[in-house]
Amino acid sequence: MVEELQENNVIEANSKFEKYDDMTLFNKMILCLNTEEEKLSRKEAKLEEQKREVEERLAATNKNIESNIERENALSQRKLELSNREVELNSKLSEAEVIFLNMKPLIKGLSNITNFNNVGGSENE
Amino acid sequence: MNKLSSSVLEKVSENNNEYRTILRNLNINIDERTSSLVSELVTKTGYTLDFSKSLSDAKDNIVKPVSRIIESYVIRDLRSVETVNEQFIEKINDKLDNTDMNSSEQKENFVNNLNSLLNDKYLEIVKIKRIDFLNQDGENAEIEEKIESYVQNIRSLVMVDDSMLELVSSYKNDLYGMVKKSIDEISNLYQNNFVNEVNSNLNGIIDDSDEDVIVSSPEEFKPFIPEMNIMPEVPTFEPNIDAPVDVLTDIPEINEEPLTTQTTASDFSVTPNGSVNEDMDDSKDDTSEENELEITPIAPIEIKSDDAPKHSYDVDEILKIAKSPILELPSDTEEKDESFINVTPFSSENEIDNIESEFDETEIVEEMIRRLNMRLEGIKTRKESYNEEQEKLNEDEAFVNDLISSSNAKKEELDNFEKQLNEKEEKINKKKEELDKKINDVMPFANAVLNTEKES
Repeated sequence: MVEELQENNVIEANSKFEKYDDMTLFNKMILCLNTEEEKLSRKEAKLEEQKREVEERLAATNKNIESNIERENALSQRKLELSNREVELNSKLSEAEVIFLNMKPLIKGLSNITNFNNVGGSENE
Repeated sequence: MNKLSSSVLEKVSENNNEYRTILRNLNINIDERTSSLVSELVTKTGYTLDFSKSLSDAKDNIVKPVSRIIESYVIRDLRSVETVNEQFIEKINDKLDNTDMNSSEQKENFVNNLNSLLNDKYLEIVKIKRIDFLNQDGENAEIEEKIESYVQNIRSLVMVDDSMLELVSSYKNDLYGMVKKSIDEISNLYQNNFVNEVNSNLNGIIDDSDEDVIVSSPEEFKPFIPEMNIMPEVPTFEPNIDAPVDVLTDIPEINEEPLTTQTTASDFSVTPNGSVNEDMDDSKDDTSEENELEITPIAPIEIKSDDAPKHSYDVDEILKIAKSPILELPSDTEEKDESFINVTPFSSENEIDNIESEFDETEIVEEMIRRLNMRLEGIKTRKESYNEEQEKLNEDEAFVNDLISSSNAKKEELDNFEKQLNEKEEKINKKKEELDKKINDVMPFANAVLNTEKES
């Protein structure tokens, strides 16, 4: 069956070229080879162009990755500093709060003294 | 005597249209040769040139323009040839009107005049009227311009080296060779058509005249027999020329002064208005240069007589006229030999033996097959290599795409992290401002107390 098919293909190919004389067929053959080679040359040129483009994109992506790593390090450092600063600030706030709490009775005492002086003076008069 | 009818010109004109077939074949040959040139040029440039585009350019800039140039030339040439044909028909008709062929001498003179007219004057005047397609260097300025333009176009695309120029030069030589061959074929076609048709008609006219004379004195007259291209291979023809036949004896003298075969080409010149004049010496100067062209002789019209023929047969000369039509009219001698058919024997000469090929056909075919197989193998290898590299490139592209996407995701993550840090910093700054405000509110009182202590 396969042999029959191959034979049919050969006959079909022969009949396809029968209409050409030798010179025309030779020219067409050269033309066909030249066209195929030209097509391959174009494909290869396009492939080289694609390779170059891939290289360029890879190089740019590598730079981006390096940049991301550096930036990540910087941000980590900054986070640490902010944490330290927050802790220190919270400590100062607590200390100030304690001082204010201690100052409150003293300020109230002074305020009472001021009020007593004002009331006594008027009674004596 | 009857005249040549206008149908002669029409018939000649109709036959001349065969030039179209020759031109069509020439165009096909030029097209094929140009395709071959482009293939060779593209190969020479290492396929830097775009083959399809170069071929298309070559067809647009060389094949079509050159075909138009040649066709235009051939049509102009045909017109001038037909003008000369018309003038010659008129001239022959004048001669037929003014000639009385009552004696063998007059008849012979008349036929000689016609021979001279057709063999020498016609060809010369056709050539004089004709402008050569190729100049003295064997080139045509318009074609040169087209080819040079195409070469310049190629120069603008790639470097043109000496080998490519040699290819172009070889192409031009082939092109001019093909054009010259076709133009020669067309020229021979025109001339043969005219001479053939005129001879056919003249034979009829002269035969009618002879019949009249023969009726009056059948034993004394000899029929007039024009012959074209006597073939030397037929041995019976040569003796027949000298064979005794009936002769016209009582033909009266011709009134018109007979033209002889010694008449020069300038005796028949073409006036600007298209008429043919015998005595126009003024045209000598104008045509002297063109007279240098070689004139292809056409087979003469001959008369047979009892006496030794005054016009000798130049058999070698006649043999050179390969393209001349063969025209033979039945003669009395041939009628006598009706029972015997002349058969030309096979010639032992074989032209093919003289043709030698530069290479052995088997070797060159095998070499060609080897080269073509190598090219085919090269194409297959390149295809496989291309497919492998294409797959590898696809993998590389997928890898780079992954890197790009992960890099972009990391960048977004870092952006969000930075944003969070900024918010946190802002929050800390606000807290610090609140603390500073509280302290600043208390600090004046505390400073006053401290100052009071110092004063006390």
